Formats: sequence, structure tokens, C-alpha cells
Amino acid sequence: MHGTRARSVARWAARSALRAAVVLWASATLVFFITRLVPGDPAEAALGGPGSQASEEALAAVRERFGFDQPLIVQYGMAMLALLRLDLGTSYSLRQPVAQILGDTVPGTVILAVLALLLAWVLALALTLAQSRGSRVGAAVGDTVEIVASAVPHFWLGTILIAVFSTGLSWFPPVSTGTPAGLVLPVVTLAIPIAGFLAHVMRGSLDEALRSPFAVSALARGETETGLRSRHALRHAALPALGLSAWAFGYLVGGAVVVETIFARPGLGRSLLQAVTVRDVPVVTGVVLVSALVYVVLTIVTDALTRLVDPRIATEVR
Amino acid sequence: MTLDAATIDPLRPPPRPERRRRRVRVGEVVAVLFTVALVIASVAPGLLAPLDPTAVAPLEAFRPPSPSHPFGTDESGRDVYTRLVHGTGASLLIGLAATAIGLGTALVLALVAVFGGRVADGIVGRTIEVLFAFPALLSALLVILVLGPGPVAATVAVGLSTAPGYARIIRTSLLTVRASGYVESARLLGHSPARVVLRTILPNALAPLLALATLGVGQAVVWASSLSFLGLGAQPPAPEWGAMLASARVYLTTAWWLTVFPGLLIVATTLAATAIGRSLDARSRRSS
Amino acid sequence: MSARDVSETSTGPLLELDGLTVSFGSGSSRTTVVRDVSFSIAAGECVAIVGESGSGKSVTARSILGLAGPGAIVEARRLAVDGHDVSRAGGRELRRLRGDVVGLISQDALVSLDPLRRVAAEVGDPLRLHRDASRRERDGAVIELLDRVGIPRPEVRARQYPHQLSGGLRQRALIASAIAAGPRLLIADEPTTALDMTVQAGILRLLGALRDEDTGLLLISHDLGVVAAVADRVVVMRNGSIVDEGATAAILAGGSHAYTRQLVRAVPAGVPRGTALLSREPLPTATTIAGHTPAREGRGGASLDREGRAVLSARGVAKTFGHGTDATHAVRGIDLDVHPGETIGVVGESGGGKTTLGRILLALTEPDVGTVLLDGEPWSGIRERERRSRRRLAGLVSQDTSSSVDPRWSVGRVIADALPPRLTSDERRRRVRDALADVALDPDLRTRSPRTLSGGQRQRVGIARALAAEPRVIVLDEPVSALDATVAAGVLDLLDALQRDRGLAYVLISHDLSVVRHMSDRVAVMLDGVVVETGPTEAVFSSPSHEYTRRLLADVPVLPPA
Repeated sequence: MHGTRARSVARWAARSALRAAVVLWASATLVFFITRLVPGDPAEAALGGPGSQASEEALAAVRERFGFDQPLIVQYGMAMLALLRLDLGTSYSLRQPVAQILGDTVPGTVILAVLALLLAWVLALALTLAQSRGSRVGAAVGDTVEIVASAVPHFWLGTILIAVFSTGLSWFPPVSTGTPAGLVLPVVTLAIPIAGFLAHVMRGSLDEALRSPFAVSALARGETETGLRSRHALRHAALPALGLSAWAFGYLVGGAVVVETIFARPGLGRSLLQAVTVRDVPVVTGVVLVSALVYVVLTIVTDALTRLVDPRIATEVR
Repeated sequence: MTLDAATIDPLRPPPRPERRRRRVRVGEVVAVLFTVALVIASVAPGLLAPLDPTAVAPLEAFRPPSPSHPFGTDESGRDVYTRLVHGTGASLLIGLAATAIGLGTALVLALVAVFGGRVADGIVGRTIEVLFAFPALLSALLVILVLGPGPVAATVAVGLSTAPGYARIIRTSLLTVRASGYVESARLLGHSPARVVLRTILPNALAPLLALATLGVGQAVVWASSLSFLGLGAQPPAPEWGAMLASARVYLTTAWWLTVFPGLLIVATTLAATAIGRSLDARSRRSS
Repeated sequence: MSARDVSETSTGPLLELDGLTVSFGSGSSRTTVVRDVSFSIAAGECVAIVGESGSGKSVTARSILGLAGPGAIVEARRLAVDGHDVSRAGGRELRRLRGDVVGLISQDALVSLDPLRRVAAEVGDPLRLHRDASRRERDGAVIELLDRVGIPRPEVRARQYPHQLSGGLRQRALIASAIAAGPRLLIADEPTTALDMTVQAGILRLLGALRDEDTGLLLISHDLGVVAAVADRVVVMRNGSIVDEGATAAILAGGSHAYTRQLVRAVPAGVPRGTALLSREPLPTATTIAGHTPAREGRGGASLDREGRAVLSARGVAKTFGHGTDATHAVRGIDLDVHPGETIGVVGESGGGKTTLGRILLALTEPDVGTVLLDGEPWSGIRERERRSRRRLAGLVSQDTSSSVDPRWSVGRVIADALPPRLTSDERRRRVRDALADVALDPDLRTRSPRTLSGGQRQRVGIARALAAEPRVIVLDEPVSALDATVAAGVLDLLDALQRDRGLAYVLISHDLSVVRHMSDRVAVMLDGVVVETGPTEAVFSSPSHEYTRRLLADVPVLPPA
């Protein structure tokens, strides 16, 4: 029994690693070709765009250096080789290695998104447990809270929170500095909409679990309502929300673009926004690849957690 | 008490608890009424807001909400309510068009995957999986990187970035229906594959799309206004909701109404779309 | 304080039920589902409630546990278990009774055990809740309990999850969790419904043994055969009320009420081929249809004429799913001939390959080896395009018609879709009405959605659709397994009459030996993909030659001859 279990885990790990590699390679390929669709002369862009008035010699030198004069397939090969060496190139606009820009911005955004995801989970669980008491009014209130939460755009929520809690009450700084207090509003802003989504999914599966025959058997054994929730239903409720968490994290990274802009917080999202505005292709490529990497890693983590919670999946492949 | 055997009809439908009359939900009615108002505002904004949305009146700038200006005035003294009503068409059009682009792309992808053979399914399936690694706003930014900022680019960007999600749902729906007992029954009657696809598979697999599209319009409005807010979509002074919010940010501390009302309108629109979409979804689930 | 301490002082019956009435809803939408039900159970006694769906038997049982469902209004003059008044008990008191004084065994352990928890946790829960047993005490007790309910290798099974156990083992684990705290009364709600006959027999023996250890047993079942095996007394319920009750033997002999007689009559066991179940009248002999050779002269399968050409014929068909060590040999070399006007019964337990064989005969699954001929022409090994024009000759009636009809279509459209192509719309409408009349359905049902019909009506729609295609042979895959007994009997009578009328050939796939025996001229017994025994039905059933057939027959719950 233990042998098959270990083998099944090993097989799963190998498959996940392979899949992650494929997704990363495909993402890199996709981004490479998308960035080649950007109109204009890439050499000119590398020198700071049409406004830079670059000389013909400078352009030629850049073409030579980045291989823009080579056939597309050769450029693609060069780009992939560079990636394998973890060389992400140099920013057109900031004249800094992309790796360095990412190194400066990734930790802040990851902290923001992780805290937001945790807060979203806590809020969603609280919302789910609070309203699953069978009361009709409670369900209606919960429904409304969920829908409103998931309908609120980040940018508006953030602005309102600043107006109330920074400008009005002066509880938190309006600009997110390095202090923990500065993290509160951005994290709340990011977390609320995703908490609405998660709560919706959780409550659906919690209701289903509470109506299922195994809930009747548990009650028939003398289990309390609280015990039924904590020992049985909650795991069933958490499963689909867990499966959504990798997607949710991606959604949060997207939301970080807005939130970091509102709270003037340095991070991945704001670098991306600036890079898109000035068509700084290497930075855009770097940010997108990092977020794909995070997504892939998170998919593996949530997959592993799901297998821990749900024995049906863990023993399925034998 | 006795019962004659002849009166016992084995075909009598099982006695089931009397069906509770479906209660008309207040939320759904409000959502529908609000949607009707939005449609009127898009088609004939003059009916709801007779003033000129572009009329500049510097002396009237930054007036807080009052009976003559229910939502206040902006930095140029323009009536916020009038601008919001006149911006409805543009904002909704972006949401609708983006959803149409997303669903259309997704439909083509899913149909190719399901009916194009195993190789096509493998390729499309992998592609969708890869696209999932690009969170919605990130892929939208990639599209804008290529197309440059602007309302059309924002629409296409939002549309394309929602396509992978839709494609996965439609593909699963098509596969479920194709493997169903009733498709097998149609095969057993010797119906041609074309007839089975057109008369049985597509109508059943695409039935949930209406609910999906309604929910999608709400989300698309949010994403599109987010892009406008970031300065990548519609540009001020266009009376588009996201663009209005972007220009209002500067005056947040002094003129809160410039931020609150456009935001409330976006939230309300998304709420209405979500309420109607969920109701449609519940209805289609009940009937299948 | 354990609830048991009180019980020492109480005498009298274990369960006292007087005037139980259960209703749902309020005001004008209030529906009463159980009306004035009274009976009692003594220690060591098994009382069965028999009834069809909607009779209120499950709600009655759940009311005893205070689990009739959200919004249920339970009223009773007396509802007491082991001296504890349940009707007046509060939540706390009820919880103390549940699992400790009354145990519940429900149907389908796959969904009645939490799929995310180990068997040990589920079985040990009553000990945690009622005995304050430590984790270690529970672990020991669970292994003893699993052993007691006949689960082999209990140490291994205790660590596994429900989905890793077979259906029979799961049901035993569920029983173990119900008896863990040693309740004095057990409620078993359809405890064997989803199980194979041999597994069912084992579970019934286990329940019988528990009763013999002085546990009171309330058995809920729609199956008189199951009831006959363990019950001392039987209560017959219909539409929420008790219509009959008495000693098991008396009820099985027909009881004192017309409905009881009808229930008993609906059981096909022992009713010879060619006799209608509900009326017990002989069916008319087969009419000769132009172009068909009557398959036989007499009834009962004795003088079967096999001169005529087989309408469907399989030679050496085999099908394997998967590869290597994971391969499942679903069907391994089967020969089968079906003649016009004849029914071939295919019996066996789940996993025996019955369904795969049916799909091969319908050319829904291509056999790896062997050939199938339909009407003498190749039916397997050809392209779907070549098969399409002849598909209408072979039809299917499946267990669950609701999943085999387009959910968006009306009954009329479902049947019209099966009619031959190129009919005028008048002709089409007439044929739909005729088809509904043929299966004894009101033609007005044609505008309804099949989902709004009762199970019996739906199954008749399935038959009407199969007939509308004018087939020569129909595969009946568990056609009445999902139906109540009297409804099933009506459907079986209908199938029999239609066969006689039209010279149809049937391949009847069923796990229910009584149904097969009543309906078939010849029978094939399948085990692990092989036909282990075949021959005229009566010959096989009265003197089985294969060990497996004997075991199957031994495990069929039988009614004592009336």
C-alpha cells in the first residue's frame, strides 16, 4: 500500500515538473512572438523610441548587438538560450538589467499578493461560516455581500478606502511605504473582490456537503452541528476554493497593477504598467515570465494541497 | 378503509410536495429595471439627461451634489450626472464588445478542440492551459503593448484576455454533452453526425452561454474601466466612466463626488449583470 | 451521564410510535407526508416498513432520530425509544440518543460515509461522541468492529478511505459505524439497494445476526424479498399511511388489503413466462407477422424453434479496456444468437461484462475480436457510415430514460425524432399518438417534458421511442431496476405484450434473477466476461450446472410460496 502511494506521488511529481517546464517554455515563446508584433523598429525602441533621434550608426550597433538583423527564428533561438542562462536583457527605458528591476520589485508584490490571498481566505471562510446557519435572511445577506464584494473594481475600492481611512480618519498612510501600516489598505483593497469569489464557491460546496447523505449519517451518530461543519463540511467547502487559488493569485498580480498605482507602491505591477506605456519590451517580457513562473509554482502547490485534503485524487492514479 | 385493486394506478405520478410558488426576488426585479435604464441611457441619453455633457462652465466648477446638480460638477463645471448618463453607451459598448470578442474566440477554440480530432484537442487544450498562466490584466496589457492604448485596444484586450476561461468552460460543456446518453440515443437512431451536432450537441452545450455572457459583461465593464483608469483605455475628456474616474483621482480630497458616483455606477452595473446572470444560470440548471 | 443508565429502569417495547404525523411547509402549501402512523418494536425483533417511493417510509424512520429534514413538523401522541420521549426531546437530548441508543444505516455507503475521512474516523465517531474514548481506545475498538461486521484485514481497511472499499465492504463499514456505541435499536433504510445479490445476502445475514443479539431492527425496504429474509413483522405504507400490517408470512401471503396483494403480485419470482404479473392472466400467444417466422409455438421456452435466422448473432466477441497490468477483460469470447420473438436474458453481477456485451450488440463498442451479424449482414467491423441506415433495426431501452432523452425536448419530439424519415407532419403526429397509446400513456403527455413525468411514465416513453424506430431487436439494459415494484411489473407486462404483438427479439440485461426468469426464453449467465452457463431458462434455473449460477440462485431472496 505504501509502495503504491509513494510511486503515485513520484509519478505525480514528475508529471507536474514536466508540465511546469512545458508551460514556461510555451509562455516564453508566446511572449516572444507577441512582442515581435509590436509596431515600429525594435532597434529604435531599444534606444528610447522615435523621440530619441538616434543616429543611423547607433541603430546599426543596436541591431548588431541584439540580433534584430537576424532571421526571426534565429532571434527566437537566441532569446530562448538567453532565458536558459537566466539572462532577461536590459530595460530600454531604465537602462538597467531586467533581472535587477525584477529583483527589486518582485518581493514587494509577492508579499502584497500573498497577504491579500490569506486575508481573502480568512474573509471567505468567515463569511461562509457566518451565513451557513440555515437562516433565509442570513443567506440573502451573504449572497448580497458576496456579489457586491466581487463586483467592486480595485481602483474604486482603493480610492474610497484612501478617502475614508487616510484622508478622513488618518488611520493609515495614503501612500504605501515600507511600513506595515502602509500595507493595510492595499492588502484590503486587493483581498475584498477575491474574497467575494472564494466565498461564493465555498458556500456553494458547503451547502452541498451539508445536504449530502454523509451529513445525515454523521448527525445520526450524534454529531453536533458545529462538529458536522468542522469535521466534515468545511473540508468539502475548502476543496474547490483551494483549486481556484492559483488562478486567484494570478488575478491578484493583475490587481496589483492597479493597487500599486493607486497607493504609489513600487512593485511588479507598477513596473509593468510603466513598461507597457513606453513599450519597454524586455521589462514586459520579464514581468510576464515571472508571473507565469509564480502561477506554475502555485498550481503545483495547490495541486499538492488538494491531494492532501482529497484522498480520492491521491489514490486515483495507480 | 379499503381500496379496490383496480383503483390503484401504477402510472399515477408520484405524489410530490406541492411546488412552492417561485417567489419573485426583489433583487432580480431591481437588476432588470436598472438594466432597462442603462439601455435607455445608451440609446437615448437625452431622455434621462437633457443637459450637454461637454458644456464647460468654469464658474460652476466643483459644486457638491445639490438639487440642480444631483451628483455635483467636475473641475470644468460639467454636470457629473449628465456626463455619466452620456458615458453609459461607450462604457457598455466596450463591455458588450469585449464579451463578444472573448466568447467568439472561445467558441472557435472550443469547437476546433472538440470536433477537430485528437491532435487539435491536444494543441488547443495545451494552449488554453498556457494562457491560464497569464492573469487577465496581464494578458490585456500584452495586447495593449502591441496595439497601443485607446478604447478599441482596451476592448480587444479585455475580450482576448477572457477568452481562455470561456474556452475551457465551453469545451467541457461540449464534451459532457457529447458523452451524454441522449447523444448516444441519437446515434442509435442512425442520425448523421451533422444532424446530431446541430440539433442535439450545440443547443445543449451552448445553453449556459447566455448566463455566462451576462456575468461576463459585468466583469468586462470592470476590467475595461480599470484600463481606462490606468490611462490605457478611453481618454479624458471622453465621458466614459473609467476615464472620468481617472481624471477625478487628483481631486479626491476636495471633491469626493467625482469618484464616488462613477464608481457606484460601475458597481451597480456589474451587480445587475451578476444578479441577472446568476438567475439565468440557476434557471438553466433547473431545466437540465 | 450515559443515556443507557436510564434504560435499565424502563420496560416495554424498545420503540413506541403512536399517531406519528409529519408535514412540511406551512399554511396553504403545507403537505402531510406521514399520517397517523403507529407501531412498536421489541428488543430482538425486526419490523419492516414496506412501501413504494413517496409512501413516507423513510421520513417515518428519520423522524425517530429527529432527522426528518429541515422544516419538518413532527407530531405524535407518543414517540419513544427505549423509554426516552423523542417527540419532546431538545437538540442536546436527541444528540445523546443518536448513535448511542439508535443507530442509522442508510442506503449507498459511498455517499453515506464522508469521502474525505478514513474509515476508522467514521466508524469510531460514535465512541468519540458518546464514550469519550481516546484516540487509541477508538483505534482498537474500530478494528474489533470491522472484524465483527465481517470485513477482512480490518487493520488495513481502517486506514483506507471509503472509495477504496468495494460496495459490500463499504456497507459493512457503515453498519460498523452504526453499531459502534452499541445502540439498542438499529434503523436500516434500504441497506442493500445498490448491491449485488450475493453481497446483499451477506448484509442481510449480518443484520439478522445483530437482531439475534437482542438489537431491535427497523428495516425500510421496497423489496419484499429482502423483507422476507429478516423481518418478523411487516408494516405496509402507502401515501403516508399504514394500509396493512401483520406477521411477515401473513403479509407475503397477500395480507388483508388489496394493495398488499398488488405489491406481492408485482414480484416476478415464481410467475411463469407468458403470464401477466399484475392480472395473473395468461398473455395471448404471439401473432404471426408477415415476414417473420413465429419463433415458437408454445410458451415457456420448451419448444423453441431455432430454424429461423437469428436477428442478432455474435460469434466469439471479446473486448479489453486498458493496457498491460491495468487491462480489464470486459468480455472474453462470447457466442450469442437472438431469434425473432425470443428473449435472451443476460444475468450476472456488476463488473461481469453484461453492459459491454449489450454495447457490442448495439455496435456502440467495437469488439477487439469476433463478429456480430444483424439480420445476417455484418454489424461489427464496418464503418459507422455503412451502419447508419440499419441502426434503426436495433434499439435500446436503458435503465434511466431521463438521461437518454434530450433535456430540452418534449415527449412528442423525442418520439418523433425516432420515427422513420420523410413522413408528412400529419402522419408524424398520428404516429406519435399511436406510439404513446401503444405504451398505455395519455397522448396529452406529448407536450410535457420527460423530466416532469414519473419514473414509470418515463420508462414507457423510452419504450415508445425504441418502438417508433420499428426495430427487430431491442436491448433492454436493466429496464425496471430504478422503478417501484408495481410500476416495474406494469412495464414488464407491457414489454411482454409488445413482444407478442410484434415478434420483437429482446436481449434483457439484468442483475435481478426473478425478472430474467419471468421474462426470458433462454438465459446466459455471465461471470468475469465469460458466459459460464446458457440454456433454456427453466432448465438453467431449476438445475443449474455451474457453481456460480448455483451461488447466484441461492442468494436470491425468495418469497415463500403463496
